[in-house]
Amino acid sequence: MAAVSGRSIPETGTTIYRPPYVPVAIGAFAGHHRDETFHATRLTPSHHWAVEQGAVFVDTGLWKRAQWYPRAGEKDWLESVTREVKAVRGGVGFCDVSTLGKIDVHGPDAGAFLDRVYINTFSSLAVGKARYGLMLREDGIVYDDGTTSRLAEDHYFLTTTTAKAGLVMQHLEFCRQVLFPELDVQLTSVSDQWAQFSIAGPKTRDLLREIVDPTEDLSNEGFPFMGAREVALRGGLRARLFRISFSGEMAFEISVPARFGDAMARNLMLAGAPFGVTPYGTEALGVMRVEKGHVAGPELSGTTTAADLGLGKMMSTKKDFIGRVMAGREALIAPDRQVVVGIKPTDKGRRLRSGAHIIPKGQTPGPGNDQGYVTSVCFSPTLDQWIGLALVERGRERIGEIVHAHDPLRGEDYDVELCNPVFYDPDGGRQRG
Amino acid sequence: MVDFSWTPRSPLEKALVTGAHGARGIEAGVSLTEVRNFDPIQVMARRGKGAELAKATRTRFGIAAPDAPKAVQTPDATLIWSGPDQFLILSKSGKHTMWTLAPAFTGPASLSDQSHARALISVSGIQARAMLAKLSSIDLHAASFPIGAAAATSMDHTSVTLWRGNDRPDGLAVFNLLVFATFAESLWHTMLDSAAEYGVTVSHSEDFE
Repeated sequence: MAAVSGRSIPETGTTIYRPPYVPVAIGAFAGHHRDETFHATRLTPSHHWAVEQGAVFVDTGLWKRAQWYPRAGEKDWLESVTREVKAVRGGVGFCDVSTLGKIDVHGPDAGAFLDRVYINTFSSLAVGKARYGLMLREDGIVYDDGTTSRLAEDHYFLTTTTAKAGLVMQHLEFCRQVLFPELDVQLTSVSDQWAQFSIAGPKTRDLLREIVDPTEDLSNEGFPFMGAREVALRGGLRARLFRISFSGEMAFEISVPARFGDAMARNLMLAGAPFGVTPYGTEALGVMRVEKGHVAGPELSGTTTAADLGLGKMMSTKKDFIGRVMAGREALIAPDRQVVVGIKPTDKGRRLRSGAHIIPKGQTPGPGNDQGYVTSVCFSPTLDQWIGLALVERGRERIGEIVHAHDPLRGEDYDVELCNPVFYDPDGGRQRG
Repeated sequence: MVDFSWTPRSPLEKALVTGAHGARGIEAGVSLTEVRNFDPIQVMARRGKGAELAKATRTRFGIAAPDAPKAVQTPDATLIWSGPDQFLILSKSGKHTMWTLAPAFTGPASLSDQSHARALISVSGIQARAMLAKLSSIDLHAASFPIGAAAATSMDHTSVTLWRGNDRPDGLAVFNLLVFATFAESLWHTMLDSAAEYGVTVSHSEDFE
């Protein structure tokens, strides 16, 4: 600018003009991006069916997810969600879980690649089987979890949490291209290719026998827990069936190419009609996972190790994996770490709330004796009381201890009992039955 | 026993309303067409098999796969570059599927079925470039983005594969947009808004060329 104007640099000074040079209404910049179109949205394959069903939707990242399906006469969300949970635990229900990230992992080194990104082993997984996997960040903190199935010798189908789908894809691409370029492995996002539904409850098989071709063996022997294979459906379509359970019930996940997702929701309603099938939303899904003690986003918070989550035994000692070395740092294996436990209010009628601090009973709350916090709560229709999960210092050694929950934000103080985080069917007989 | 029917439903089935939209009383400046009857398959070379994949592609399709951001036409498919040693095969539904392609590509490549993962929107008309300029940072001038040019880019924070197809019979340019299915309805509304001032003709087609 100095050269152009024939002056020295000090005379010219710093160029301070930036467009816009004249006032412009903010609305001109916002343009289309306002109200419902403030940002891009993602819709599940059964979205418009769920709208027809009167579902209440919740924003989950960019997604619109069915949160619950109110029925006439229900006075609040809790009544609807409680009905949905009871319907699943006592019969059968289904939920669109297509928002989970889905990745095709191909190539002769696919198993070796997964062994390096997960703390547990996948190269030994048999074709036709699914396994729960946990991955760490380089610093040893838990990154993401999900089930991954082996569909062929050189083809795994990996799932991620909804929230981390894009980030895990980036992480795995980085691992493939930069960290392990010697491995022959190819990754493709198939999140949008498959519509996936969880079907759960003791009558799941009854429903599936209506819709799956009768030649397919769905018995416990023919399709055991953690099985994963393609099946034929009545009416000519083929689907992938995974016997995995988040709810703790006998459950399958079924997936079909996404353009058949709308038809799948409608056909599940038809197939399940004799068994009182009930569509359920993310709230009921969350209630059942807390009842079952499964960790999710609030526990995979970027501060917890595998051991904190009660999953330390999954860390293989026979192979290397991302995060292995750093997970062994002193502070990350300290005996006084805050670990996941269950909590129950001593007053059975009391409502729990996430975020309350855990303090030793009888002490005045303060930073010096803060021993953790409540991560997830729900009203459990199964136990007929509020229950929760919490991260508590030395929690697993203190099962049965009464501690104090201090919630200065809501001005609440009450006692809770530390307990096993698996409130429901701790032996797992229902999901294996 | 219930009869189950499996009717595929486009991710744009609800949002797309055929006919005239936006400004009226002028000749529509933008034409938006959803092409429904197509199958994309993702092809990625296995480690060190790029040359072998190129050879297999030439044998199968008669031409080389693109090795730069370009789309190439074969008599019955379009091959679109998506990264080093990887590309998408687009064809009319049922023409090239996972099953028909596997014999030629197993060994040199991994195939991933994307046949339900995308929606395909074709944009043309006298104002197509003006409308796309609101959404895209790519220079779409004829000199910079000729027939066969392609880009893996984003519109409205949404990943898209954009390429220029053959011109319409009246000589106007055609821009094809491949968008992930779960984002399709959202992007469709954005595109319709962007085109509204020029007048829009909306249609869908079962014919992938």
